[in-house]
Amino acid sequence: MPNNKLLIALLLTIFMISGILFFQSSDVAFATGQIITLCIGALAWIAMLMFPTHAGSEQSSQSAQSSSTDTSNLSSSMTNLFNTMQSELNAQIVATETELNQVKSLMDNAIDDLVDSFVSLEATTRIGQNLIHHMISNENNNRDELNPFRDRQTKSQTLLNDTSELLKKLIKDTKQNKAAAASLNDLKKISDNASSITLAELQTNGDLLHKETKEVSYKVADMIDENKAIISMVADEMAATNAQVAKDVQVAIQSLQFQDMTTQLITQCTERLGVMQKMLSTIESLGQSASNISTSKQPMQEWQTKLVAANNELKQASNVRMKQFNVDAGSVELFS
Amino acid sequence: MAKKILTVDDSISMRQMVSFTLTEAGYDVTEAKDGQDGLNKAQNQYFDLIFTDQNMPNIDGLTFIQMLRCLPEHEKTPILMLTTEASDEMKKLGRAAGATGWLVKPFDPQKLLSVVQKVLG
Repeated sequence: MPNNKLLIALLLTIFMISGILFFQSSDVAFATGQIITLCIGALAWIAMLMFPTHAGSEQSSQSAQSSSTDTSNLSSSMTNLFNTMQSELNAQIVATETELNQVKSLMDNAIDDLVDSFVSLEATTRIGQNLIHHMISNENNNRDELNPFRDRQTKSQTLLNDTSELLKKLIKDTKQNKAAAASLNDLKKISDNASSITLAELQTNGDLLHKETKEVSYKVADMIDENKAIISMVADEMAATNAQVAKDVQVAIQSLQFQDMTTQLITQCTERLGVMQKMLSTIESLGQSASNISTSKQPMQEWQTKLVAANNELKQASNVRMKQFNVDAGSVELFS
Repeated sequence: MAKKILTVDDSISMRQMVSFTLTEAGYDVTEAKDGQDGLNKAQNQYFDLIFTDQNMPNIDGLTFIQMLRCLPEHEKTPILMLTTEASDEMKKLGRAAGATGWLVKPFDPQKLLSVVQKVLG
């Protein structure tokens, strides 16, 4: 376009000079020729001046149209961006809510399990303590779980009493037999006849002692068996108690892992809230410069850049790393 | 002689739970608070098995495994991931990094011991 103007200006100048020279050399009156030439020149200059003005306005119009299209595109892009942001923010809020629910669920679940585990441990310990207390105190306890043990213990006590009585009798009879043996020696010295009578008595006493000794030995054997049974019962009780304690401890070990999981969830929530807070700050700062947006498209482009960056950060925070809602054991996978 | 196991986790309670379970079963357990600490300990002593978490400060679990696999003494050491991450994508990354297996938290003490026995043969 500027080249065309130059050409026209050059042609007009040549035309004007040629016109002046023509009128100077011709018979036509100079004043008239000058006037005609100047008029043509003036008209041409007006036309030339009109031309760039027209071209400029066209360019200006095109520029305005282009600017309007750009602004419209930017505006549409911004609307989409705002919609995406809104949806991302909503997703973050939902994710944060879900994670907080996870924390609550995990905490509730873990605490329930820990309370159960504690109550069970306490009950198991109490049974063990009662058993030991009952064993050492011999007091009559009517608790159901102690009945078999109490029955065995009563039987063992009866056996012990019987054995004790038998032993007392045996000791008494043995003493009598010893006394008889001593008097036999004395009698031997006096009369052989008397001695034969006493020997018969001694024989009877010996048989009795033998019988009583056998009875005592049977009773002692029974008592040993009963004590073995008691020891076995106590061992079984202790094994059952230990198994229950081990089970309760395992539940506690599993439940106590909630701290690690809830810490991770809270960290995730904090990250999400941080990113959301950052995005809201960006929106706030952009809102303060909103008055410039109508006068130039540059602020809008800056807005867009900042919002896209904030949106990307928001998307990155969307990763869900943990899905556990309770403290049930997780999966195990061994790679081949 | 008791087998030596290294457990790497930034959570104190998790380290304690793993350590308690394994020690009760007769293993010799060493604790490390993150990947960097784990790496320092693994460079200075031999371990029969290593447990590691994924999300930790300084060095995460996958990077820790990759770095361990570069050490000749731990080229073949069984390494088990013990993490809350349960996605297939992460498991694939773990496998590619050189993990021997993947356990999702929370762990069941019996299952943990069973896996340890299986891995240690």
